[in-house]
Amino acid sequence: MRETKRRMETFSFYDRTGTERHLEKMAEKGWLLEKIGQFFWTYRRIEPKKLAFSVCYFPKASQFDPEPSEEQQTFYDFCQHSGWVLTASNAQLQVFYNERENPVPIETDPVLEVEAVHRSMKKSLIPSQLGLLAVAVLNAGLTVWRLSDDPIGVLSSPAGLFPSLCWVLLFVLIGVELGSYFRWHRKAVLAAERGEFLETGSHRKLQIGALALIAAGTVWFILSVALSGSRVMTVMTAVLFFVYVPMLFLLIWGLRKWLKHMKMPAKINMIITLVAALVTAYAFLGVMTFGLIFGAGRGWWREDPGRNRPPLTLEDLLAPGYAPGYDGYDLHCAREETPLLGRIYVQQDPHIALTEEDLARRYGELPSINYTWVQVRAPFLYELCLDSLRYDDDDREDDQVPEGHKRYYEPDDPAPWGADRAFRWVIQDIGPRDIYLLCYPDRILEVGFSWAPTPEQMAVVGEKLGRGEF
Amino acid sequence: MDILDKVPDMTQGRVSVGSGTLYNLLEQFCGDGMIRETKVEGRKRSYILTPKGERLLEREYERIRAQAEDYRRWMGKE
Repeated sequence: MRETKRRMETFSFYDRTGTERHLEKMAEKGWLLEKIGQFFWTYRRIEPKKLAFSVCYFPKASQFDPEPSEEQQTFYDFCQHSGWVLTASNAQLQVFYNERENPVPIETDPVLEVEAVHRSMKKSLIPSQLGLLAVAVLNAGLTVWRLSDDPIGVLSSPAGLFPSLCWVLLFVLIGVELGSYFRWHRKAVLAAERGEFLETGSHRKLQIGALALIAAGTVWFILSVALSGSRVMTVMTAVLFFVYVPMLFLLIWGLRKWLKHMKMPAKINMIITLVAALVTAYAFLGVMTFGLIFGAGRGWWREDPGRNRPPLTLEDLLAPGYAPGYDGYDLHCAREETPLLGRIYVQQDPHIALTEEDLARRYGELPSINYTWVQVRAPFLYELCLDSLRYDDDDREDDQVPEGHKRYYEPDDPAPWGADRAFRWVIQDIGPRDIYLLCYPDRILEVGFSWAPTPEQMAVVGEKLGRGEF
Repeated sequence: MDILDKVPDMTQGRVSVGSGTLYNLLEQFCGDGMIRETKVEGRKRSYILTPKGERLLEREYERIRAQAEDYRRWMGKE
């Protein structure tokens, strides 16, 4: 039979009521709290019994203290005199249990108790939560801006959607946590003035829900990247999740623990740990960047051409030998998808010219094509995606662009494409260009040709991209 | 720790002070100059009321006594 077990507990730091009730239930089941770790609480097996628990706050304590200070030891002695035994502590949080029936509580003055909680919160949790909230607000704000600027780019990319989701969730979690605490503190101060203790509240379900969402999102993100076929993204993601983050965490935790073992004063421990964390984080990013550049130079990140076959190429539209005497074509195909949107971008065009003759041919005779193919899986996003493609480069409202040079999409005949709606790119004084925006029931296609496509070619595009498998 | 045992004794069980509350109060009273340490034996400390502490105690007693007098006067009880 196991003698210890670990559980991930999601109690708020100031939630003494919920924590005490939980620990009493655990003791009745035969488990006594032994250690409060970074993510897990450790319990050891005992005879099931009824114990009273008291969660207290010692504001002068720090997670960097090498050992309990003299003052803290004196506090423990005081508590022990009344039968309260320290079972676990973490920074300012102290947990005691008592085997006596109806023991005198450790805190009998609500004013002093609320002050101790608030001083403890101000020392560690509030500053760190506010800092994280500021970063979350910034990133959530950036997400909103990026969504308004390039919704397709954000919503079709796991690397865009997943971090955005995490930052929004973090913003909500921290906002709720801090808001709940300040609301409780305000009410607790008023209650304390009347000589009353105020129970603490809890939003564990929200925390557990958010953590579960982040965990599921992480698994989805890793799988999406691994299946995407992009070597560079797969390697970067693997290194980030399985090397960088665990290594950074272990370094910070290990260094702090070792400095505590060496009896380093708390302030020095904190400074060394913080500096080491910053230096390591930036150094590792530097190593990753170097690795990316080094690998690019050696062709490590070259895409496997067989992996992402473009759904439509020049070969589907033009007769063989469309570029006689020239074999320097580049074919680039990038694919990203999320449960909301899928996007394929294809560009097929001649290499950078090697000779003057090639240069002349490139811009005169050698055809090229590029297209962005968006599959809209969440119907409510359709018009948002269409507007993004249709109005992104529309500069009719831009006073900086002189009249006659303004560019925009204007409605065109969708029939040759087999589409529901069609638009064609126009430059005012020059006229329509061979760039089209085509709307199908669940997809949108923006395609640009270096020549004027024939009705037959338009039908092929409609067949392959309008109704073909994504 | 005598204080923890003596307070219920002095108040006939009416008042019990929590050990954490006592710890904080002693720190506060020391900081405000109402008590001072007289002896330190390891982590055991002895305290005594200072003249300032005595004055504040006397003032607090007078305040409670005045309240009791008001009660007797208005509720007509001796």
